[in-house]
Amino acid sequence: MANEKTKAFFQDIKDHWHEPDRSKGNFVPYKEYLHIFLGIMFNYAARSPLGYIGFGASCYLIMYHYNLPYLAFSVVGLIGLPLGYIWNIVGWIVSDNLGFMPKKTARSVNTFYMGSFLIGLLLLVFDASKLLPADGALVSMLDSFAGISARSVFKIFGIQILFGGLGGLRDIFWRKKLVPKYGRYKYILYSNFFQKSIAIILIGWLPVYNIQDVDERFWIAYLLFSLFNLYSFDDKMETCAFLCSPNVQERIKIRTYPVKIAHLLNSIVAMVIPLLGEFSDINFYRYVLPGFFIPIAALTLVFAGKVQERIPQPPLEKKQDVSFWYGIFEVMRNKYNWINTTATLIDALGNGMIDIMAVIYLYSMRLSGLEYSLLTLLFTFRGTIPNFIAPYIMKKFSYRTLKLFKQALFTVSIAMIIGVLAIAGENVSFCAITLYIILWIRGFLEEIVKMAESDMSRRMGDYQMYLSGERLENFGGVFSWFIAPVTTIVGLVIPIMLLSSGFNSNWDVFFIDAARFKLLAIPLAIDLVGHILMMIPFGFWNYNNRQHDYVMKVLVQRAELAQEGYIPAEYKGGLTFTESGKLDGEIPVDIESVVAAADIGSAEELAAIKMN
Amino acid sequence: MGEKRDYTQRVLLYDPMFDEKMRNASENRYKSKWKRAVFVIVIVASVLASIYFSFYSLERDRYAFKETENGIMLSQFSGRETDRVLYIDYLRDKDGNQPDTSKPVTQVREYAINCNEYLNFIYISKTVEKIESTSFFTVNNLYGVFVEEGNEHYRVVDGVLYELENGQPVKAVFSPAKRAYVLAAEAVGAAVPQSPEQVEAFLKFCEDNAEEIDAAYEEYRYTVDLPDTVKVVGHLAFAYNEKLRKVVLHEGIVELEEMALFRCSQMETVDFPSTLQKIGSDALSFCGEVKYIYIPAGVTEIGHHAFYNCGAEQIHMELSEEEADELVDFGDAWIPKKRNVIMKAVPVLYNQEKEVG
Repeated sequence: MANEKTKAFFQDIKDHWHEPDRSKGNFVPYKEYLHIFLGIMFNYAARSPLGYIGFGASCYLIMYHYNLPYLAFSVVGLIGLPLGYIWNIVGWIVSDNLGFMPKKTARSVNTFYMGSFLIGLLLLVFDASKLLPADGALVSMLDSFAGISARSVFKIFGIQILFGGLGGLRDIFWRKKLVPKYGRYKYILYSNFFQKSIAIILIGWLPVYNIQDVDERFWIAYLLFSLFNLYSFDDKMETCAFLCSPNVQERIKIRTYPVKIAHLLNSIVAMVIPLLGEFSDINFYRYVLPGFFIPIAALTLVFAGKVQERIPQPPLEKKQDVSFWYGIFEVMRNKYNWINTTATLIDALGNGMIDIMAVIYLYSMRLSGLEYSLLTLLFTFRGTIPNFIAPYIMKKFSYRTLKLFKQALFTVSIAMIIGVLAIAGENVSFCAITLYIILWIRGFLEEIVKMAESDMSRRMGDYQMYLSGERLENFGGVFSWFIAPVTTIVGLVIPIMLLSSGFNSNWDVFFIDAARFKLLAIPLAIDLVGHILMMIPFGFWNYNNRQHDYVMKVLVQRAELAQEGYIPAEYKGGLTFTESGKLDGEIPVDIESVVAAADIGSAEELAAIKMN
Repeated sequence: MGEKRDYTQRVLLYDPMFDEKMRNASENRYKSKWKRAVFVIVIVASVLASIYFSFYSLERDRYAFKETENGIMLSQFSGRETDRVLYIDYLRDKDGNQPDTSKPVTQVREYAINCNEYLNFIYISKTVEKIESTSFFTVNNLYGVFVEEGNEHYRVVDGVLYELENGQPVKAVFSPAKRAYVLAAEAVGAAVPQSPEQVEAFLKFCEDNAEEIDAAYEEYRYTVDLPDTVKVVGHLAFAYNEKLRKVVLHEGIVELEEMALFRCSQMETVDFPSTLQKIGSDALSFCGEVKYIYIPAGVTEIGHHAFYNCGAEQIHMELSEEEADELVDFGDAWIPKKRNVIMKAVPVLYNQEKEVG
């Protein structure tokens, strides 16, 4: 029996190696499964060395070599807060239109970006603080921030607008050139590979960390890291894999097997990297990180082009034109965005917390080399098994149930962590091991919910497309406009508390037992309150498989109609649609009746439709 | 491509994008001028409010004080590049001016100075009664400390701040991280400042002879000889003293507190006296040049990671293994480790006699 099943399995692969099994509603041939596997494997593994570099207090490079004040990072965020709105507005118009804008819009956008670039360059080259009175209140206030001065504030501002402008210009250019060929997600890998490779070399070799003056050191480091961050090399292949089929079950199958197995190389790379050097040794950043990133990223590009995006949508030239206000108000129609926003707002209570795993690894267990690799690998693997059972769990439980479970899980685990720190804090090894186990179990259980969240995030794009004709993924960021001001202030609470408890730019304070407890437990207690409150918004979530199946049927139908010249924006009548009945979030409440009343064709007919 | 289908003959699924009512409602929404105006006003107002309150929260006064039941406490000092001397004497305004002599400072809060790279000297008046062990944390360019004559609680001896009891130094509290720089400058010809008034001249000399002093500082190593009356080397007392070669611990010392000699990376020898009873956690952490550690029989408590990342390849104990197990309270990972593929604890040799020389 098992033998026969195995034979059938291999036969199925052979039969559908080049062409997918349309009878089952599949869109992806097995050959592409291999390409997805290899593309994701290398793309994901390339991110491993990149994970050691980031402009933040928890980055080991910053921690061991730069000695930058903790609160100075908050100042950077504050300077970027108003600018972020401007970048968002312009960026959404560009990206949600896939780079194809009306001529007038395109001219305005290009002028804006070029102007930003030039002004940023001027601010970088010249010291704009000399325009202010040296003994004025503004200069005095700016000089009072740790690691910041009036001069460096203008430099930081200049850096932000310089790279904002440069990034925007690059984005338009590369989208136009590469999106038609590579799709809307993975084009960025091609546009950024060479530049990222050069940037990762510069990060290790330029001795910016040796600059004596902390104000100078801070802004020049920010410049260097901004250059590094300009060229993203995210896991776009995984995003592509999530959208390589309009068939939800096929998507989940791809995500469960080739995608998750592909993460194995990343685990191996993540384990090997710490063996090759100490974080406190600068040669680790000079040789080890570029030595891994460059060849692996190059291999990503080899397979990336062989994976297709199959999002049901009209042809590019017939796509929905997205104006700024249309995009804004359309995403605000999506009630699930409001639920997520409310939860994010509450979650801000935990912003600014120190990474407890970094403290456990480096200051409690004091790991390095092989021990560090093994424990981090074990920690990373906690998500592997849940990934294989996630599809079954997701079928059995609703998204709402899973989200509520996650908040309860965090609440209980945080309470346990605080308890362990309070009771056994002085028994360093016992405390560290217990915390590790708690966090491991939490991560294990959380992984299923993460898969559900990731899946739901894609589904929200589909739902938004159902509502508005485009996924509006970038416009979804409008909610951050409301929450950013609040989270900015709330996000300062913990860092300011940490400062008064001894944490600034010197991480050695975590060697002090009394300080370690305060620096970890108090922020955790605040975070715990946040997780309890986050259960409230998710109680209102009611978008499940049923609703999503209907949405996908409508999107397929819409794509067909577009092929025949029926575009919503130009529709003047002539077609017959079912009655909607009562609607919830623009989806019929009685979906089954609506579907039964429609002529949507057989599965074979649907599968025969060529997708864009 | 699939077979062409005649959609006018089919009943299609309800699609909100083809629903005229929905489309009109959507259009009214995003074309409404007043809705756009409200949107913009709300965003702008909240951003401005956020920036204002955030900068307000982040702004740090140079000097911050707090009134306690025991008097005025210096709670925070956030010095600028030009602040080379910190005066801990009286309540001052936020810029450190207008000292109010009717309100003397009596305490310094923990982490009052945290990660300051500019401060060179600290002046402690005679009214200060309590300084926490972490009050001056990571002041990397601190050259020296002055204590006003008449202070009954603290005194500076050979550059090190001590806590007094009955007029005698009993506890080493704090040694400036860059003490060696002053000594190197002295070797080049500087007059070591004995009071804040002499600091400016000293700094001027250092600036004029920077190259020479830096060269001398690079090679400089010094020894600290603790007074005979000292019983305790305090928490972080000699932390980050990179040029410290040796601390002479006389008989009579009973305790090395937590991180007492933390990151004394050039310290070559440490000779524990027979009176020593307690070695705190991380007491000799990151003292990579310390090759020989001998623990006398009187030690009954060794804190966790006491010798973490030390240079010693072995630990020598006067007690036997059985005695040590019975009498000594060992903290987690107190034995230093060396890497040979994996980290392994160095051997502990019991029943040892102290090596002389």
